[in-house]
Amino acid sequence: MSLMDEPYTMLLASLPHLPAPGAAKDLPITRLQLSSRLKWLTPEDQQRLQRVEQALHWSHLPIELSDEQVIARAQAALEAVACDFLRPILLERLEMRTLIAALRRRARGETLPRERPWGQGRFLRRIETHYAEPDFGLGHLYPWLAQAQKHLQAEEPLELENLLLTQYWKQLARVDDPHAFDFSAVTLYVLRWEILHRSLRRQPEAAATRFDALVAQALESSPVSLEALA
Amino acid sequence: MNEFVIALGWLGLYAPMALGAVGSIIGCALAGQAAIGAMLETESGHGKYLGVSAMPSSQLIYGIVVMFTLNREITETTAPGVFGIGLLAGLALLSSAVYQGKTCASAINASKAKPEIFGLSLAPSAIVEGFAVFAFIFALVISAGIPG
Repeated sequence: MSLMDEPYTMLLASLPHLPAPGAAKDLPITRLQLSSRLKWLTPEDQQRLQRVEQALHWSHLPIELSDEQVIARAQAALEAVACDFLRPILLERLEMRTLIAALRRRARGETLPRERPWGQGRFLRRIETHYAEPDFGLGHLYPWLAQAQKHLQAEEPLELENLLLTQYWKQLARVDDPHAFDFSAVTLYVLRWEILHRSLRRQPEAAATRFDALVAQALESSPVSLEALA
Repeated sequence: MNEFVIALGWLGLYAPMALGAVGSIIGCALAGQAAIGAMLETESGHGKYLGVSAMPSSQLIYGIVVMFTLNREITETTAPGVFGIGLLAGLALLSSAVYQGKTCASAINASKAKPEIFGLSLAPSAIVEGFAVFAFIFALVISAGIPG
C-alpha cells in the first residue's frame, strides 16, 4: 500500500460536504472547481473515473448509440473500475436503469427484445418472465417501482425524474461507507455530486432567482446605463 | 554468532526511535494532507487543523525515550533483551502513528463539514494514542529487567 504518493486525503478533505438533494439550495462546489480538484488524481484514476461517468450519465451517452453499445460501454466501465467495493454500487445503479427501461418499454406497449441485450444486472430473466406484473415481481426489493409506474402512466416525467434521483441518492446513502481516503470515496463523492447537480438544475425558481441576480450584477458593473440608451 | 547477536542488540536499541520516526512521518503527512485540503475549503479554523495534524509526532518522542532507557553496553547478555523490547516497541509506535494519522485525517474531514463535532471526532485518535502510551510505558518498565 502506498501511503504517501496518493492524493486522496488532500483531495477529499478539500471537497465540501454534499447535502441531500431536498436540503440544498446551491451546489456547494461548481463543476469547474470539482474538475480542477479532480486533476489531482493520477492519470489512471482520472481515466477510471471518466469511464464510470461515461457509463452512468446520459450527458456522456450520445443519442445515436444503440442499446448494445450503451450496455457494452457500461460493462467495460464495470470491468475497468476493478474495485470490489464500487462494482456492486455501479451494478445496482445500472439495474435500476434497466428496470426503468423495462417500465418505459411496457408503457409504450413494446415487448422486450429476446434476441439482443436490452439491459444489465441480475434481474433480466425475472423481468422477462414477470413482464406483465406492475413491479415485475420485484416490488419487495424496489418499492418505488409502483410509484414510477404511476408517474409513467400519468405522463409525469418531472415527478418520475425526482423519484429516480431520490432513489439514486438513497442507494448511495445505504452504502456502508468505510470513510477511507481512496478512489472509492472519490467516486462516491462524484456520483453524489452528479445527483445533486441534476436535482438542483431542474429547480425553476432557483434558476430564475439566479438569473435575476446575474442580470442585476451585470447591470451594476456595466458602465452604460439602460436609461441612457433609451 | 556473537557478532550477530551484538548487531541485533544495536538494531533493537535504535529501533524504537527509527520506527517511531517512520510512523510519525507517515502519520503527520497523512493528517497534514487532510489539513491542507480542509484549508482550501474552509475560511477559519486552520490552526486547529494543523494542530491535529501534528498529533502523530508524539510516537517519535516516546521512541527517543525508550531508546535512551534501553541504552546500555551491548553485550551477549544484554543484546537479546534490548533487541526484543526495542523492536516490538518500535513496531507498536510505528503502527500507532500511521493509524493515528488516518484517524486525524478523518477527524479533520468530518469536522470541516460539521465543526461542532471537532472535539468528539478526536476521540479515536486519543484512543490510538493511548495504545502507544501503553507500549511506551511497559517498554520502560520491562527494560529494567535487562542486566547492565
